[in-house]
Amino acid sequence: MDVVKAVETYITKMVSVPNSMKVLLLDTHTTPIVSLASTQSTLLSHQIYLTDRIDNKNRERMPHMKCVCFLRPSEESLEAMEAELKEPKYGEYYLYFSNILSKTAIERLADVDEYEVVREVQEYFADYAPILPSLFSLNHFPTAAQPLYASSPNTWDPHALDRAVQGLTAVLLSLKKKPVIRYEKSSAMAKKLGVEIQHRVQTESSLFDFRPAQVPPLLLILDRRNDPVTPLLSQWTYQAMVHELLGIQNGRVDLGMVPDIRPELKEVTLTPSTDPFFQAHHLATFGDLGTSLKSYVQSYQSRSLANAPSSINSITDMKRFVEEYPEFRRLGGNVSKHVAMVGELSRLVERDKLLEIGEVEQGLATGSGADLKSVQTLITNPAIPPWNKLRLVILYALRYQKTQANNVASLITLMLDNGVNREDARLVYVFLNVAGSDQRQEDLFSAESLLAKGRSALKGLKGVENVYMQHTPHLSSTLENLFRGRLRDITFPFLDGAGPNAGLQRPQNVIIFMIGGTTYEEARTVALLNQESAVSGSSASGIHLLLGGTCVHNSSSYVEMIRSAAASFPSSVFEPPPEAANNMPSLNLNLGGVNVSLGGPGGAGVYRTNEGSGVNIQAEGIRDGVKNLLGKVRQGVDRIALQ
Amino acid sequence: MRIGSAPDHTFPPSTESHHQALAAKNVQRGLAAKIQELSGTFRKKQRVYLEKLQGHAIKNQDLLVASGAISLKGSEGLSAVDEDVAAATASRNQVLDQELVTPDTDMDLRSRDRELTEIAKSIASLAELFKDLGALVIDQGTLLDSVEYNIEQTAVQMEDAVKELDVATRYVVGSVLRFAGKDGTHDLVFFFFLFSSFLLPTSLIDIIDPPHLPSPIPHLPRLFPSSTILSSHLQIPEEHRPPEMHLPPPPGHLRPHPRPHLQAQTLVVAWRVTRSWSRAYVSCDTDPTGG
Repeated sequence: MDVVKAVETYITKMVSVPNSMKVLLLDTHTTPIVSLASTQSTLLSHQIYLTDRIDNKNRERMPHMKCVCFLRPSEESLEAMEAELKEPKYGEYYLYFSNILSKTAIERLADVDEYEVVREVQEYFADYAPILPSLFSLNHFPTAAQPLYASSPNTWDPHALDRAVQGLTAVLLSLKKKPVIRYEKSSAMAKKLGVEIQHRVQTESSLFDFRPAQVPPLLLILDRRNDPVTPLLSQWTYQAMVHELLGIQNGRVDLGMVPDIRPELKEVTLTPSTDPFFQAHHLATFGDLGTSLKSYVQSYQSRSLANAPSSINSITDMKRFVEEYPEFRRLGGNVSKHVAMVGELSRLVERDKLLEIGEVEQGLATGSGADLKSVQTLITNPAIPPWNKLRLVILYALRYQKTQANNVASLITLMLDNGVNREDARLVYVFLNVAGSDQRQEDLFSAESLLAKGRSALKGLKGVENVYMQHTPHLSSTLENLFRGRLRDITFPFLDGAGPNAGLQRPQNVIIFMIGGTTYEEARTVALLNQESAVSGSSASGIHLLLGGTCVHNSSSYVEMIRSAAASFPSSVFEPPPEAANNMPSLNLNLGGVNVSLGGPGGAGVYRTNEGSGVNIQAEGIRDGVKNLLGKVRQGVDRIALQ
Repeated sequence: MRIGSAPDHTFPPSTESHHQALAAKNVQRGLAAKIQELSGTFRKKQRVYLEKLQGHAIKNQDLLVASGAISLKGSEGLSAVDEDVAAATASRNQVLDQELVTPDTDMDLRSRDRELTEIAKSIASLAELFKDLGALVIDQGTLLDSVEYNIEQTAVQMEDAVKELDVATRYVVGSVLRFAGKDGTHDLVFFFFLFSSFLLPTSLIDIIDPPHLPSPIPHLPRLFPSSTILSSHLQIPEEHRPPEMHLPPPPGHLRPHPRPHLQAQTLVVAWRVTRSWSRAYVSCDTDPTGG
């Protein structure tokens, strides 16, 4: 279950025929996929001498070249392909589609192929971005134009659902897996996706006709809302840190805003498959990374001395130089890239006081807890950017939503006085409403606090405990339960048709899909469990895991997703949760088009009581609150009935 | 002439040449990578072979000694002494020879010296060559090696080209309007402006005085790509359009031919057939779990 290898194989197959000079045409969707699994030099070695976008209208006619197209069967790409076939620019066409192509689409294309230039049409199911061998992403970063949620956090946007079904189907097809499906009970979206996938598997039964495995593979569909904490934390391992602080986009990192950066390092690529140092250390903690980088630089220095002009004195030296020069050059580029990147990471950690923040965050996210005072100190510290303050308060609110509601209220007020604007502060309520403890299926903190104490004591003995690495994502406990056969059918039910004994079987292959985006921290957990599975005797032995998500989040992309989604949710999402403390300040300021925080006849403008429309909306808000409450009562009853 | 001194504008400023050049550059890169790889393998193989040969020589001697074909003992010590003696005599003779026939040896030495220098030089230039080759080859893991980046670069260059075309069109239209009154010569003027607007920094175009026009280049129309013609056609009045500026016809196999309805059907059927067998999965070996 190595997705990088799978996509790589597809691409190699695609570009190796025909054996002549070729052009590769891609669309917006397949470009990152090809980019992650292949490189320009690989393509060159397969005689692909031009790569371009299918929607580029200015391509020139080159009848002597043959054309390989790899497209997603989306409407835009099909249209562009039609236009291309009507006026062919190249001699022959080899069409590959990244997903199941409908009959009508084939006929459409076949009809316009008047010059009969198409030689081959195939479906290669590389419809997902392979980031690591055990991590894939559907590259769907929700924005206002391409939302993930519809009008509530329980419903899919139809396009997003379609995209997720296609992507997951492609993953299953490319790995030849016909899975049984489990989902998180509390998530309506997970169930919906599971049903759609199962439907697709059944309708395309000829495609999913694989040699049946003894124990069928498992597709476990999870919802980000059940663990809002993991993506909010500061990260302390290499790949996760780079993504958190600099951002990794399709294997590329933009270093343009780094002060005094050399022009050739303004943007760099960062994928394990092309970078041996990154391959070896992408899971390493920041401290270990520093040590390895130091020895890496030293080994480069010793080689650069050997390759210095002054040391080439004999013909043997020259011979050696010619032999080693390409390798040496590559090493030099790689060393300076990593030095620049790690340098920037440590500059940002220093500048934003991330170590101090990280310590408190870890306390909030794990059983040990954190006291109000340390959070207050950080919020009043002017050196800390408002963004990090907001993150801290959201974490505090998620942690102590029930037990210390008054403190949450006071922290929000304190944060408003210390540089966080109201627009952002509202997000605290949005988080509580969307992913608060009433929305989550399992308690993230209390269950852990009992277990975690025992576990951390054990770890402390082993000496792997690190104050910044205490947090383990909720996913790891879910997986632990799964390995031990303790994942309950009530909380993680099977879809119909799984068979009566499905719960008793221990699956060998597990594909985990996180609706709403996964994180590199979770990817690291999965990668480590995969390593562990090679060792017999451990609980994970013999189990292969693959993690995927609609996208891979860092804290800012996660908060942005929630922010953009909240705009289309009922306005009550911006209100303090119904049962919360009464003294939580209302921050709902966009209603009725009146920016209340500006002040006016209403005084301090914290409570909105004027304007007819405003009253209506507030009434609606109250109604929604009541509905929520009713819903919860019903849920509670259901739960009791099930037990 | 100012026309030649505008290095920041490529000429001809067509998308055509850009794509061709890019393809050519990529061919170069691909070949360079191949050469580098091959020469690397060659060097390694050669080294291994030489080591093997040396090993053989030693082994052979060992075998001979073991079989008793030659006896090392005694004779070895003797031969070593012999060699020393021989060397001593030889050097003594050499000294004597040098004293006797100096001019001859001098010539020998000088030519040998020259040859040695030649060898050293050629090795140095070979090293240089490899350095250049290395510069041409795309390094793994650099941004240049990213497929996405390369595609984006093409798009950026395209945008620039489009911008240049827009600027050019504006000037062309302006110039045509300006010279519309002068009958007979305006086509030439138009050509020159179309031509010069690509070649010169835009600020220079206004400076040029129309009476000092150079004589137009006869093959000029062929230098323009289709897109230029199209975009200029849109804004140029009918009577000012350059005559006969279409592209060469497409080669035979691309020319459309009328097809009966049946053929279109069979094509669809053929496509369908293709489809039914073409659904491809990754073969088993990509899946380490073998599932």
